Amino acid sequence: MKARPHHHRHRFAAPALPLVALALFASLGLSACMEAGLASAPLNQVGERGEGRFVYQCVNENDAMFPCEQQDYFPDTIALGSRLQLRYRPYASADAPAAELTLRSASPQKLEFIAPRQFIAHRSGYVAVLAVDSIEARDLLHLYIQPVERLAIRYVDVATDLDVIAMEPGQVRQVLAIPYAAKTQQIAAGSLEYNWSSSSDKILQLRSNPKQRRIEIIAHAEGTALLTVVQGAIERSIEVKVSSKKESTDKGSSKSGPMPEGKPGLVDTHPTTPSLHAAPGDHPL
Amino acid sequence: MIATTHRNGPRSWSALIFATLVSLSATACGAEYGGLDLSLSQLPPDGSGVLLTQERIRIPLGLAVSVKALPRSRSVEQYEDNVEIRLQAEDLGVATVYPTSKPFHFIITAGGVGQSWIHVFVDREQVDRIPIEVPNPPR
Repeated sequence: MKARPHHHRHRFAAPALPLVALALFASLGLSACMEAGLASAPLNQVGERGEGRFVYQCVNENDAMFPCEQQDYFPDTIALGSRLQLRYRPYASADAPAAELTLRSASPQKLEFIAPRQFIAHRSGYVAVLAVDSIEARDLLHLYIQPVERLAIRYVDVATDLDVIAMEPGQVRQVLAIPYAAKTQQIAAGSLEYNWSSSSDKILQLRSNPKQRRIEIIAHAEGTALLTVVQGAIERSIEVKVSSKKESTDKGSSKSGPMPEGKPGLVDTHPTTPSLHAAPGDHPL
Repeated sequence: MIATTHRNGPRSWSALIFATLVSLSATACGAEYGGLDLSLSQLPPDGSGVLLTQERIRIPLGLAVSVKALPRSRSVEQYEDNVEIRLQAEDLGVATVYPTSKPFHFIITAGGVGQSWIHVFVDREQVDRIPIEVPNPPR
């Protein structure tokens, strides 16, 4: 009778090991190219005249593409009302060495120049940006601007939109807002302003600046609180269930497991935060 | 002989003057501007609202259109390859024309909703103007 459960463990362990390995690889891959689920993102954009490359840069951490420099990514859609930075790198040749070029918006009504290489998106639709030297236009690129249509909330290192967050008292987590653009349904690039709130400070508190796209939350007491993020006229709220019971799990809009541990950017930053994988007896609180 | 010389002299002088006049007129009026052939070098994304003819240009707000502009001569003489073409927008709040490194190639940007003119210069002489309209993009 004692050998039976042992045998059962082996039968489960065999298929479970490749699954764990697969999950680890997927998780590592995701953490390498996200936080915004950019696995299929193209490299920065070649100009439409093919004389150089346009490079997208984040103005600050409130850009869903952050950190832009690491991702080397050119976004499909720019969020209406957002700020962004662009650079142009002309291809150098022997007869025409790379010159310093100025970037100009085709229409300041749609994309306004506000600082060197920095723009703000004012109107939806396509707008061209031109790389211009003192005499002529060298290259151009059309950007696509769309309003944010909906927001999602994610953990910082899992590319799954959350419907519910399960926490235990004392636990700290980092979450961020993901802005989705109208029409393309792509994650909208550009720095935006956010505002986070908790419906109950007794249950759930915000530990960092609520104006940031990424915030830290701490569960204080058992109960359910609504975690809300607002961007412009768009709002997203999800339930945060704080319970010391171990059976509570996070539920995403797609299948999403509990947070991985021991990785860079780990969500559980509180030194006394219990692991979701820990056995009840291991609970430090 | 002298008379003969005198008789031949005026004849050769008039022939020389005639030849010079013909030569000068051919140089001055070799090609006569008869219009501007505009063609799209590259269609912008969602370029359905773009219209480009020698009579009228329409570019929706925010777009940039790469065009090739070739002057057409209505005389027997055609324009040389090194003819200088310049396009200049009248109202920069509506449109801007940028020259490019390629001869005869320009980029026209639609900066603000409205109507204006693109002036056409051939060898630094204004020869034409084409109306340009910048509407709001089609929804």
